[in-house]
Amino acid sequence: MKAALFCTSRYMGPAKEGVWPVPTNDYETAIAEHSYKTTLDQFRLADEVGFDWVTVAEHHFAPFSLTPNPMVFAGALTQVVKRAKIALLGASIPILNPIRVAEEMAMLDTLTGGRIIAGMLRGTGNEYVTYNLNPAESRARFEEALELIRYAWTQRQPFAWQGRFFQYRSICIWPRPVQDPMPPIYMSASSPESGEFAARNKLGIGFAFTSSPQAAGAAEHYRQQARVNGWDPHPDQIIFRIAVHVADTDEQAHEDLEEAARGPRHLGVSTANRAVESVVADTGYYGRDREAQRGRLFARGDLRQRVAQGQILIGSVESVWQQIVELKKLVGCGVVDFTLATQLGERTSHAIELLGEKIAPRMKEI
Amino acid sequence: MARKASKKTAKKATKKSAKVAKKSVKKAPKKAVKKASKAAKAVKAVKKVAKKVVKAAKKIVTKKPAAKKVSAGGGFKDKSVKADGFTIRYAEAGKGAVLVSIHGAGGMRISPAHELLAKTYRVVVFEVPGFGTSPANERSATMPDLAATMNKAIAALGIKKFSLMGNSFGAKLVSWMAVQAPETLQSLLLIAPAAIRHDRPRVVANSLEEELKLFHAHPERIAPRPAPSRAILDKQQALVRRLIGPARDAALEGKLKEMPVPTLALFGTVDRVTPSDAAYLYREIIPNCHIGMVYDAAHAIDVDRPEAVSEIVADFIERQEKFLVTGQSGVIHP
Repeated sequence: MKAALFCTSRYMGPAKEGVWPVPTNDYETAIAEHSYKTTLDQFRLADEVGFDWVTVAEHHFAPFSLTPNPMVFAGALTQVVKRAKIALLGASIPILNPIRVAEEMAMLDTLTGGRIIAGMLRGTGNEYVTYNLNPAESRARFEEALELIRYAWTQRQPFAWQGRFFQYRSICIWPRPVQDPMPPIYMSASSPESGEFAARNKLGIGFAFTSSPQAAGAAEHYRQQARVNGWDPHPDQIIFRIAVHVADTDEQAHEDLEEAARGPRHLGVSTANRAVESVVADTGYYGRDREAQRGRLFARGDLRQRVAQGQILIGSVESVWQQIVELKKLVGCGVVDFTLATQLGERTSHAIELLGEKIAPRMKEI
Repeated sequence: MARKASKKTAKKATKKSAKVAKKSVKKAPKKAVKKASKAAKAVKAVKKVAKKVVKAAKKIVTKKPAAKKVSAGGGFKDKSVKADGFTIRYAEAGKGAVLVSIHGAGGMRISPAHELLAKTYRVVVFEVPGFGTSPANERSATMPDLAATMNKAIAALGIKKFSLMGNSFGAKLVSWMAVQAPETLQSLLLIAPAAIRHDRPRVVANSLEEELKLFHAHPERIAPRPAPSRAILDKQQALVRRLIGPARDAALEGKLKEMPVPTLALFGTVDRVTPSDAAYLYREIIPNCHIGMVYDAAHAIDVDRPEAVSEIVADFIERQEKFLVTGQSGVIHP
């Protein structure tokens, strides 16, 4: 197994909760600068203590994440993270210019000597508002954008693209990716349609904003569909992103997380705007498994409930290790993308050290 | 007068540019060719703008002064309704859900945006008592009074549920109408609104030319219409001055804070009369308010960019806050 550290680069100050887009009335530049610095420090530490990957994501118009363009942040990471892979989980490709995505990821792959993981995501439903795109066309745009990016990475002669959603007269990107023929591609596969698409196209998958039983079902669907398509995914092709906190004792870990939960949380990025969420749902964005997908996003609960639902790994090194073993058995994931409570200062750093030094080496063995 | 004045200004501007061009030729003979061609281009550009202004001014002033009965135009039919002892003129076109529109301080006009909206909606454009050829209105003591009259006029037409749009001064009037009868409204549209303003001196136009520049980023898009007489303008201005109230109207804002109607407030990015720097106030004060900036539009947003305005207005009327999620397809080729 591999250990990854995910930081949303969360704004570490107060902001209005339960709305989206979130107004910036209370925004303070100094807090944002501090949030970036903290994230960079945490990624640097993760790299030093043995994490296999560091991961960044794309979210818009909210303090939940200050990386609307994860490529820019990954650019900064190329100068900080010297050993671990940098996973872009991901670029929300249906709402972006795919050629720009191909160019930026190729730049990052070159800057890191081929250490980029290329996550290609659809983005959360609300984020179709960001660049004014129709969520009804999300899946079709995703599929075409992905195909176009793969062509852009592999064609050596200028070519035109006459797509359904994208049209170009001449494409020939510089630089090209270092990894040959391209960086490993992952996509979200919480919905059955996505799992089937990934299986047909031999892509890795990832889960976030879910519970371990739900992820287990979706992972099994993906593996079964891969078999139908004549291949077996490697465990490393399944990423499970999960909240975690490790401390010296179970009690300390619980105390820490309860404290973090009392501060600004900036959660619910995809569900905060109910009007937007419901119209997105009506466009067919969630696919044929609509209610289960919505339920997954709206699922809330206190700390104890979230631990019981398999949404948080928590405790001492030994406790968290046992939970990871269970997770592996249940979901079959080869990469755990740990999301920490980033605002706990020294205790966050200590959790990163414990995960990197005590848990990551044991994960390599299973 | 105004026509002459704008021609004069245009000529002056052309002469000045030509002078600059000549000067540059004298000053730097080596670069003469390059500079002269640049200057010639500048002269051409000035001439083009001057032509536009003159043309626009011509459109307005060459028409006869307002006759007693002004036709609404654009397929709109002139009608009237009695309310509160007033005979209130209105113009109507189209079928479907009702959109009631209230004009700004300049008086009633059918804008290209009205015409576009009338393709989908039953658009009812009112002339507020005291505007146009109606008798001077000395009975409406306050904006809430006038708002109550206008709500009665709408009720007298048998309209029970509708969207309400107001431009500039009219946006303040419809804001009062909305707080008085929110249950009748599907949505509220505030166009270049003067309902909540920063307290600063009003930008005033002293001539037709200045007014054109102040109100229009694109005077070439103004449709020909008769110019109202001085007497009408004076009467309207006196009424507006008497009723408009303070820039920050605590009584209105207090009520707007409780007003639940989905609201869209639009601002022109080059509007100097009700500039977009007040937009955030609408969002902060009105609970369910969305704000929008219309690019390259001055105060007469719906004349400068009628297509852009009518599209977002129609989308908001149809879907209210759900308009945030576009329904337009991005397909280039199926």
